[in-house]
Amino acid sequence: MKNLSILLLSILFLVSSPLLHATMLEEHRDSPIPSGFQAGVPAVAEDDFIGQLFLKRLQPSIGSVDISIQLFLNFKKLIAEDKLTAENEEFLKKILKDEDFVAISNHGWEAEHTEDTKLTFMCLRLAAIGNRMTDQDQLAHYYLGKKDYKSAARWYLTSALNGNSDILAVLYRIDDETSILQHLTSEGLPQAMDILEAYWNSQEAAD
Amino acid sequence: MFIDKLKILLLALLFTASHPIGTYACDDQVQREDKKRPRLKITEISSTTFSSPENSDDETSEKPLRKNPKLQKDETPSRSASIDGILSTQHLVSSPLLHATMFEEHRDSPIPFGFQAGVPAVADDDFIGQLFLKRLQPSIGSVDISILLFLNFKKLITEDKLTADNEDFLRKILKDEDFITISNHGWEAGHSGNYDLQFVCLRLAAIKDLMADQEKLAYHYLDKKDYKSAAKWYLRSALNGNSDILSELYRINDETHILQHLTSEGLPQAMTMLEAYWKSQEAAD
Repeated sequence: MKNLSILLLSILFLVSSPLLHATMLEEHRDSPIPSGFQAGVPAVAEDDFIGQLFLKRLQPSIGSVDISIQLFLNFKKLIAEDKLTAENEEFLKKILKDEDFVAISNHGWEAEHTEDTKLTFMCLRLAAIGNRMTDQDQLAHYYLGKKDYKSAARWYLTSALNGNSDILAVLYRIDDETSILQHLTSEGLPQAMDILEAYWNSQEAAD
Repeated sequence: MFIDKLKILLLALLFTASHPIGTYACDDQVQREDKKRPRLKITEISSTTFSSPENSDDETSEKPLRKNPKLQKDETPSRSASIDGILSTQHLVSSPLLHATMFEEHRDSPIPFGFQAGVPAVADDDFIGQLFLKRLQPSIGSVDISILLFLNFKKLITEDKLTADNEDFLRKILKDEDFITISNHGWEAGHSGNYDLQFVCLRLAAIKDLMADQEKLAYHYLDKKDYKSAAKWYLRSALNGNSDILSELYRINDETHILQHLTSEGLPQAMTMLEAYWKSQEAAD
């Protein structure tokens, strides 16, 4: 009799458990900050250089490790999918320091040597935001390789505006044909981009 | 009589549970059922799915299906009913553990969208909230994280725990015009007696060196006898050219010699002096 009661009680307890879980989830919907849900935020690995750099800058500014991690993962995803907007870039320029972009640039070179192409692209994309002309040049060539002439032109010319002599020499060489140099200013950049994109497209068609 | 029936039922249950095919089938089906059910609850909350765990479900779902026909062929209807009983009991037994496992599994997901589905919306008439979203959402590209950030700062302000680093960040994400509208909103909140909102507005406007808000904030802290915070905002308002405060500081200068420290660099010392002065005044009262 006693054993039966214990068995029945155990069954009753087990029956109520899933209901309790469902109730628990429902309760958190109205919480101001759903800390319980945020417990699912994954940690950033200690050897994740970019992740740790973001946390170093974000965590003191925001005061929450979880939200800092979510912000980093959000930008990591946008970069990996190559969907960074001009506003995203502005925000990244505000939260990262000049020295961070230099460190990211160096890390990108190391990643390239170890043939970690995803990490290389991430570093190039970030360093390019920080106006690192060599990274901008390399990023332009990455897009050229993918025949994305619009993106390539943007970073090629931005790198030229930052004083990349190799690119300036090329632009000088094609200036007779394109008259691109007269537009090589911050204001003239969109027009210069169109000219360069058209030039590359014509070159490709001629090949 | 009732106990006897229960004994029979439990014996029947135990018998079916110990049957090799039944047990084998149950285990697989339980795993499949358990993996799916709790996640269904999560996905009901959010339309977004956990990509990797969902995929693994799809992969494993085929295995138990191969065993089910065997179960139906071998078992009598009554036994199948008993197995159903065992299935549901075993499902219930494993549920809490599964929930724990589920949370653990999602720790490795790149972005836990499902969890973020619990982020509450910002009301349309929440002026400050909407202002934050207007600035954050395009910069971040995620509404959920923007809301989380706003709630985070709202909490820090409400609990009066904003640090200098937090203030720097807020100065970066909000524009000059935002601080002015926040200041105006704070004055309206004060008039309508919404003092919690007024404090949030004052605290935000004070970050951007709006001297009238800084002065009012200083009086807020004076009322609470928090002389350290009061001195900070009183003197920062003076540094921003608040003539009322400057004349007051001039009045107490003979006693305190505070004016010689009224520079950005001398602010900490001036704060200490003013705090000490107010405390001495309070002791004298």
